[in-house]
Amino acid sequence: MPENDGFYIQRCLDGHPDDFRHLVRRYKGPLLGYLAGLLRRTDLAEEALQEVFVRCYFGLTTLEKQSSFFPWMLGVANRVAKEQIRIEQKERQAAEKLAQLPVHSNKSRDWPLAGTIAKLDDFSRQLILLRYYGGHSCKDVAAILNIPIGTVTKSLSRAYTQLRDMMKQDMTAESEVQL
Amino acid sequence: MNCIECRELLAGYIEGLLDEQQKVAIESHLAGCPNCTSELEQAKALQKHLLAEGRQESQSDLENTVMNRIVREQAFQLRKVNQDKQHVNIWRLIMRNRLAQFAAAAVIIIAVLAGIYLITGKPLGVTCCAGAKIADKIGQFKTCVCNIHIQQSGAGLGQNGQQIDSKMYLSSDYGYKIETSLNGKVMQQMYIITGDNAIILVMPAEKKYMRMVLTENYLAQMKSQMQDPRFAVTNFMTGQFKELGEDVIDGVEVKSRVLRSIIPRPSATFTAILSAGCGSMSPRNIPCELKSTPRWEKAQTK
Repeated sequence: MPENDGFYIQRCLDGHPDDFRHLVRRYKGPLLGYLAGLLRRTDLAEEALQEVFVRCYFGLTTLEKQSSFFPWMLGVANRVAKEQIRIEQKERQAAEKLAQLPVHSNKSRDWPLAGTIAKLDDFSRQLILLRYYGGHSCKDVAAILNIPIGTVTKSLSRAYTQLRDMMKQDMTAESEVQL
Repeated sequence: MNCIECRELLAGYIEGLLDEQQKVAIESHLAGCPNCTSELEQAKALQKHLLAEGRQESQSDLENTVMNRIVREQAFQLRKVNQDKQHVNIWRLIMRNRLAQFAAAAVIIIAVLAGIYLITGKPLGVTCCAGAKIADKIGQFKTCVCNIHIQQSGAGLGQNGQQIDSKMYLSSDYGYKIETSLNGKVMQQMYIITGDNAIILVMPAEKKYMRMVLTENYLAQMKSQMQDPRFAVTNFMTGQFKELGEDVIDGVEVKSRVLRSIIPRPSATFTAILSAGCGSMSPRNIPCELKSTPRWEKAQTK
C-alpha cells in the first residue's frame, strides 16, 4: 500500500486535485463491480461510476471520517445507481409505449455475480468488492478497512457461504419463473 | 478443530495466509470431514468465478475521463463562485434610497463639466449655455464609472509631484464606491451605504476601517436637495467658485477651483479634491454631520 486514503484525501483538500487519481485507481474496480451488480449493465455502470467519483471528489469536505472513505463511496454509488435506475425505468417505459418493445431481462451476462454481491450485507460486500473487483490482497483490504487480517479472512469465508446461498436462491427463483 | 472453526479458516487457507499450526489443524480436519472438503471445493470454485469477473476492466479510459470531468466541473464551479463574489461586491455598493443620487450627480457633473471645459475652453460658471442640456442629460444617467487622475504640483496638502488616482463606481439606483490610490498604491476605499445611512472608509494598507453614520437631519437635507440629479447640476452650474490657479497636467491646461455652493458637502469635497488636487480623503475632510465621533477600527484579517 503506497499511501492510505486519508493521505490522498488531504492532498485533494489541500489543493492537489490530481491526487484524486490514486483514489480513482484504487476504487474503480470495486465500485464498477458494485454498480454493475445494481444496474446490471456495464455501460450504465461505467456512466454511473464517473458520476460517483465526481460527486465524491466534490463531497470530500463533507466526509467526516477519512478512514471510512470506501464505505462512504459505496453509499454515494448506491444513491447514484438508484437515480440511474429511476431514469432508466422512465425511459424504458416511454420506449415500450412507443415501440411496443418486449420487456427484456435485466440480468447482466457480463456480471453474473455482481448482482448477488450487491445484496450482501455492507461489510461482506466491501470485502468481496475490494478483494476481487479491486484486485487488492487480503493484507491490503485489511489496511484499507483498518481491521486485522484475520478478520478479513474469516469474514471472507462467511461471505462465500452467504454468496453461494443467495445464488442458489436466485437460481431457484429463476427456474420457478421459467416454469 | 470442529467444522465451524474449519469453515471460518477456509478463505485464509485458500489464500495461503494461515500459520503452520492452523494449516496442519485444518488439513487434518479436512482429511476426515467430507462436508468441509466439499465446502472447500465450492469456496475455491466461487473464488475462481469472482477472480474472473473481478478481472473485467472497464473498457473506457476511466481515470482520465473522471479527472477531466473533475477539472471541468471545478472550473465551472470556480467561475460560478467568482460571479457570486462579484455579485456580492456589487451588492455592497447598492444603496436602497435615493441619497445615492447626490454622489452620482456630483461625479457626473465633474466629468461633464470637465469635458465641456476641455471642448469649449470656456470657464465654468453661470454663463455656460449648455447647462440646461447637461441637466437633461444627467437626468437620464443611471450608472457611470469615472477615473480621475490628479497630479500634485506646488505647495499643497500633499507632496509636490505625487499622483492621486481615483476610480469611482456610481449608480443612481444603487450607490457608489470610490477607490483612491496614491502613487499607484491603493490608500483608501470608500463606500456609501445609504440603507444604513453610513459611510465606510477602508484603509487596506493599514488594515483599518471606519464607519460613520450620518444624522437623520443631514440625510433629510440631502434628500430634499438631491432627489433629482438635475437639481444638483443646476446648483453646480450656478454655484460660486474660488479660483485656485491654473496648471498643465499631461499636456492639458486645467483650472483649479473649489466650489462654494449649496451642493451637499461630500460632493463639494470630491470637487475640491478633483480641482485642488491634494489630499486623500480622511474622516476630517468629509464634513458630514455625524451621529457619533468616528474611530478607526482594526480590520479582522483572515
